[in-house]
Amino acid sequence: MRKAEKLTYLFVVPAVVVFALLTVYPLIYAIVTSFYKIDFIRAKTTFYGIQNYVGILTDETFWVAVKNTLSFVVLAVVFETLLGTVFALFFNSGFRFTKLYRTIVLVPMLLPPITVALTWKMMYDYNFGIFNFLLKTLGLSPVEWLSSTNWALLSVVLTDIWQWTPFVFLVVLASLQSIPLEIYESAQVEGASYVETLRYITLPLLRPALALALLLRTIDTFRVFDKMYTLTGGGPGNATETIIFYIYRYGFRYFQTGYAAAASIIMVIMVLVFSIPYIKQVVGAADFGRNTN
Amino acid sequence: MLRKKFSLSLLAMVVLMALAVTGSIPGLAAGKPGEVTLTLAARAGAMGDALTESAKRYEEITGVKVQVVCMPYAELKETAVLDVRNNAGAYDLVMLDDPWMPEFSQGKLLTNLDEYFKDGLDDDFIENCVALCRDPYGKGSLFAVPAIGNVTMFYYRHDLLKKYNLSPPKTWDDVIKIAEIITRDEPDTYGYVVRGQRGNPIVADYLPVFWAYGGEVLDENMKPAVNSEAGVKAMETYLKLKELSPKGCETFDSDQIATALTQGQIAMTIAWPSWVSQVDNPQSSKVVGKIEFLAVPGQTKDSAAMIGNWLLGIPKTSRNKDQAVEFAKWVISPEAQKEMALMGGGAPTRKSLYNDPDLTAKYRHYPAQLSALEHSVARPRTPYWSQIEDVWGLYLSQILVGQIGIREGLDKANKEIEKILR
Repeated sequence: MRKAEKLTYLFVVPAVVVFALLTVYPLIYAIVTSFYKIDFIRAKTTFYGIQNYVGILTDETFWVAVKNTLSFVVLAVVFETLLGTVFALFFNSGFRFTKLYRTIVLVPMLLPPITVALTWKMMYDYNFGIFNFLLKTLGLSPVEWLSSTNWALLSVVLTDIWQWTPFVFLVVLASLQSIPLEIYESAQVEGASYVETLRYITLPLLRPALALALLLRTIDTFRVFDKMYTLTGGGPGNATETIIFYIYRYGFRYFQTGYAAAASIIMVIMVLVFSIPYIKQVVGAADFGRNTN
Repeated sequence: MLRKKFSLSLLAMVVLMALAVTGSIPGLAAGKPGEVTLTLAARAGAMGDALTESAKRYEEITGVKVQVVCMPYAELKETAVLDVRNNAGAYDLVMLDDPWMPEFSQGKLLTNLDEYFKDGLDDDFIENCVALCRDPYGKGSLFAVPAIGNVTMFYYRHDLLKKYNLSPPKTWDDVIKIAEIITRDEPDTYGYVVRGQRGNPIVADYLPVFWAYGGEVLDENMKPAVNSEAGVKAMETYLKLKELSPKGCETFDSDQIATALTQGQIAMTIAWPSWVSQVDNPQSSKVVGKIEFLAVPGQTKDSAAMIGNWLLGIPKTSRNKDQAVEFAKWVISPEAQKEMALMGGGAPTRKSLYNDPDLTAKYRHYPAQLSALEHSVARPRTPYWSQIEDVWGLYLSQILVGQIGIREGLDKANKEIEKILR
């Protein structure tokens, strides 16, 4: 017994080492860095206390970035989850060629984000893009997809929804297919309608999967960078400036490493606060599984 | 059956691993001891392609192999800074955008080239191009050599101006007048186009107007003055120009300007010659032979074309400095510059080449470009330019899309630039 326990620890060691080297150490290093004023190009480092944090939190542009990031996360995650779930329910109903369609639906997720962004940029073009061409053919007036401050963020959200709905779809579909058919059969015997089975059987059983999808999508959309970078460059004005873009500017354009590190720490805290409810859900579900087995 | 499958996949794995190993260590693959391979970080695109070709020629002549690694604009700067700061020494040469020079030389990232060029660069080089390579500007030590002589020029459709009986513009007021007439009367054509994308694009596009009104980014005490009267007037003009531009110009960058120009959508614009080498190419242009070139218009002051050269520097951490200098000398030699220009990947930095019959036959704008280069103005020489440009560009873009008023936006920009310089 004791020997087996020791062995367990031995097996865990590689994972712990990798985690410590690649996650814990950089995190601590970033926290330390955030208290210094660093000019990386001139290799000058001076202790700066909490000045970096004060500078960031009093910077108007940073708060615009926070607002944009939150709008982006909420809009993208809500729509991706809704659409993904609807698609999954639809595909789970089992009609002909399901496998073929399923593969097609997954394609956007398999493409590199930069390729997606560049393609969409062409489609969004005001003068030569296909969207405005279609609108004009339908007799509607064209939209300034990327160059109007009202539309730019929504256009980026739309691209993200297109690319990542398949992810939610995949997670939910896998979960749907693991629900035993017997439950539905007995519900049918009891005379439950489709809406009732959906409300009282399917959705409750999907909860862990939905929480997982929400958690992963939230974390991922918080970090969105390539789409902004390619589609709008953070503009027009500051309409699509996000926290990651803000960090990038300070870290890799101005090489003010300390300031960028401080902004990253602030973002990590925000992501954590935002995802604690989900994490509780996901971990809770995992515990539930262990107890019943 | 199963065993066969297993051994097959094992074989595949071994082959893949072998490929990965040899692929990831180019030094090993290059082989023989004592032989150097130079590595050059270059801007991707036509320039990078031309340099790659030029490097092949160099290898044929001298036997020294030069590997050209192409990357996009932003990544190039990151790579160069990180390479030196981490003491990696992976690159022997890097291409530099000229506004980066003060930052790079004062950060001591580059090799001082004075001892390799004891008499400086020869007289054939355009003075304004060489000045960019020195720090302090024009007078100090040589830290790079001028590889590509880009400069902004004013492009206009002379067929349209003729049609409406207009003479080429001398001031920005003229530009607006002409643009208004063409936008109103010529179907499906706009009078002008601004390059409005936030950051570097809008700053580069607005600066010539700002200069024409007598604006100065930094005054003689190195205090910012972007909210001066000149700045406000220039922005008013710039907003009028936007009204005469195609919709969507708030996010236009070089690609969109080039498309608008070659598709006959606009009558006038500021552009860099390197993007628009296609205006006379019948396969991609609808306006062959219809475009003429001018110096950038003035207003209260004379015209001021903006210089934007690509320089070739040698990182301090390079382990093959002598060979790197030899290659740099080759790149700026008349033969190599001419070849690169003929490939469409560069603009010479030597006066003699702008009058070269082979080149002028292919590029009819060359004499005009030489004159623009000789009368060009450089962007402010400060190690904080990248940051100033980014902040200024953010507020200019906000003004352009109407998120903020002219005066308020410029005041805020000025305050932020003050903070950067502190």
